[in-house]
Amino acid sequence: MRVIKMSNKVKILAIESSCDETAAAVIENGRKVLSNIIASQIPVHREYGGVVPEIASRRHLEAIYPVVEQALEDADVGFAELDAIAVTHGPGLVGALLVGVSYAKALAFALNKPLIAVNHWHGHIAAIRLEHQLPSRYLALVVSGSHSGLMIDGASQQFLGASRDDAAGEAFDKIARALGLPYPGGPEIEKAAARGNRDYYHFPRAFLEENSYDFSFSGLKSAVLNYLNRRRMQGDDPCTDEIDHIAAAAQEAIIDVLAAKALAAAQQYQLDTIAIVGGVAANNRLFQLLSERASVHNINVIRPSLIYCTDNAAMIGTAAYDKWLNNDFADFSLNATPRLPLVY
Amino acid sequence: MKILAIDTATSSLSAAIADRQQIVAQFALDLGKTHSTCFLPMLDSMLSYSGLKISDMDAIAVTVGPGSFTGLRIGVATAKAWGQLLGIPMIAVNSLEAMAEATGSDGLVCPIFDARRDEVYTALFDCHQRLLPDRAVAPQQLAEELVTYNKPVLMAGDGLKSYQQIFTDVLDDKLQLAAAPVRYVMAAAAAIIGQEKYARGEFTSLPLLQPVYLRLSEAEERKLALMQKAVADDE
Ligand SMILES: [Zn+2]
Repeated sequence: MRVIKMSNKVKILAIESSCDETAAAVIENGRKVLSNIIASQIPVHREYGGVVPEIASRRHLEAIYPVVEQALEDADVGFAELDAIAVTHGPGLVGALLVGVSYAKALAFALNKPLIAVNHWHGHIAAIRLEHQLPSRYLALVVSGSHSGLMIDGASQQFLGASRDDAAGEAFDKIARALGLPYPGGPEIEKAAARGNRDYYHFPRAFLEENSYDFSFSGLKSAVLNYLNRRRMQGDDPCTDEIDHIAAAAQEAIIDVLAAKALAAAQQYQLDTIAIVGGVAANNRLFQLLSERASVHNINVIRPSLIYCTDNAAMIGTAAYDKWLNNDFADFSLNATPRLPLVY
Repeated sequence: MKILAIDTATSSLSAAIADRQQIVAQFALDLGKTHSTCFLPMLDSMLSYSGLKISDMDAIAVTVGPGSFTGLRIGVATAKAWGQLLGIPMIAVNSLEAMAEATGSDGLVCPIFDARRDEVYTALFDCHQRLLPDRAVAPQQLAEELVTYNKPVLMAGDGLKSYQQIFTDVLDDKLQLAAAPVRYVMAAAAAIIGQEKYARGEFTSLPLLQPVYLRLSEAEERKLALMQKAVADDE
C-alpha cells in the first residue's frame, strides 16, 4: 500500500487481544497516550485456575467493540483522523489473537489506511519508552507469563539469553496453583510473600553454565512441588502462615536469578540502565532487589508503570510507531501467529 | 440498495453483494486454507472487480452460526468492525438457514456442518419452513431420524465431507446431495436472506451481534457436569 505521510502528528489506533485482556489505545507519535482502555477477563478465568482459550476468545469478541469505541472517545479522535491501525498478531492464544487481528484488518481495509502487525514482545519492550528517556544502549530484562530473556536494546538489538523451559511468570503461576493460590499467580505470590519469611527455606537457583544468560525455572517449580508433596505425604500440610513463607522463598529464588543475570549482563556490556519489562516487571520485590544490587555499581533500574507492565494496547501503539517510520506495513492476508518468537 | 453478505462459518468462505433482488457479485473459496489469511484478499478482489467499496453498502449480512467457533469469530469480528466504522445496519443470518436456502430446494432439506467431537450442527427445513431447531447431534442418530420421514432428503454443508457415507448407508435412495455449486457455499443465499430481513427491519445491534455457538466451551461443560453431579449426589 502506498502511504502518503502528511501529518506531523501520527495517530495510531492499537488493538491487543493476545490473552485475557481486550485492549485498545490511541497513541500519538509513538509516545503520547491519548487513550488506553483495558477490559480484563481475569475474574472469569480465575474460576478455572487459568486462562480458558475458548472463553477468552468469546469474551474478546464481546468486548472489542465497546473497548475500541471508548478508546476513540477518550482520545477524542474519529476514525477518519487515524493514520494507521495496529494489532498484536502474536504470540498468544490463536483464537484470542484472531479477534483483534480480524477486527483491525477490517478497520484498516475499510478505512484504506495502513495495517501494522506488532509482535507482543516488542510491545512489552516498547512500553518502557512511554515514560522514560532511554540511553542509546540499555539492557532489557523481559519477564512475563510466557517469556524470560535478556537483550541489549536501543539503536540496535542483541539477544543475550532466553528461558529454556518455563518462563518466570509461568513459574509463578504454577507455584501459585500448587500453593492453592488463585490465578493469576504472580500478584498472589507477591502478596503472600510480602507476609512471609523469604529465608524460611532455600529453593535451588539454576544459574546454568558460567556466563550463560539463559534462564531455567522448571527445576525450581519441581523443587517446590516436591517439597509440598513430601509435606503432604507426611500428613504435615503447610498452614496458611507457612504458605506465605514458601511463597516468599520461591519468589526469592526466581528473583535472585533474574536479578543476578541482569546485573552481570549490564556489567559485562557496560550498560548503565536496566529496564524491566513484561507482566513480571510489576513485581515490587524484583524491582527492589535489582535496584539495590545495581545501585552499588551506579546502574539505574527502571520499569513501566503497573498499567504498562501488564498487557495493554498503548505499548502496541508505541511499538507500531517504529514500524510506521520504517514503512513496515502488513497486508490483508495477516494471520495470527500463536508462537511468534521474540526476534527483530 | 446494496447488501454485502459474508460467510466464514464452515470450511468454505464466501462473499456476495445483493442489489435489488439480484446477486451482482459473489466470490467463494474452499481450499482448506486459513480463513483469516484468505478472506479479506478475496473480498478485496471481489470489490475491485465490482467497482464498489465497503462504504457503498447499505447493510452487512453475516452468518452467525452454528459453525466453526473460530470461523464464526472471524466473520462476526469483521462485520462488527465495519458496523462500528460505517454505522450501517448489521443483519445476522443463521448459517444453517443460509445453507438450506442456497440449495434452492422446495422439499425436505437437511444442512449439516462439521461440529467436531463426532457430531454435526444441523436443522431441518421443508418447503423453506423450519421443522427442527438448530442442534448438535451424532450423524448416525440424525440419519436414523431422517429415514423416518420416508421421503427424499436433500443434504448440503461441510458435514458431508466427513460423514456422507453414514447418510448414504442409512438413507439409501432417499438421500439427495445438493448440486456441487451450492453444496458448501452460502454467501449469496445469506445476501438474499439479508435483503428480506432488511425489508422487515430485522437488524442486530453491534453489542448483540455475536456468534451462535450452540455449545459452551469444554471447560464450562466440565464445570457444569461437576455441578450437576454434586446436586445429584446430594439428592
Ligand atoms: Zn504480555
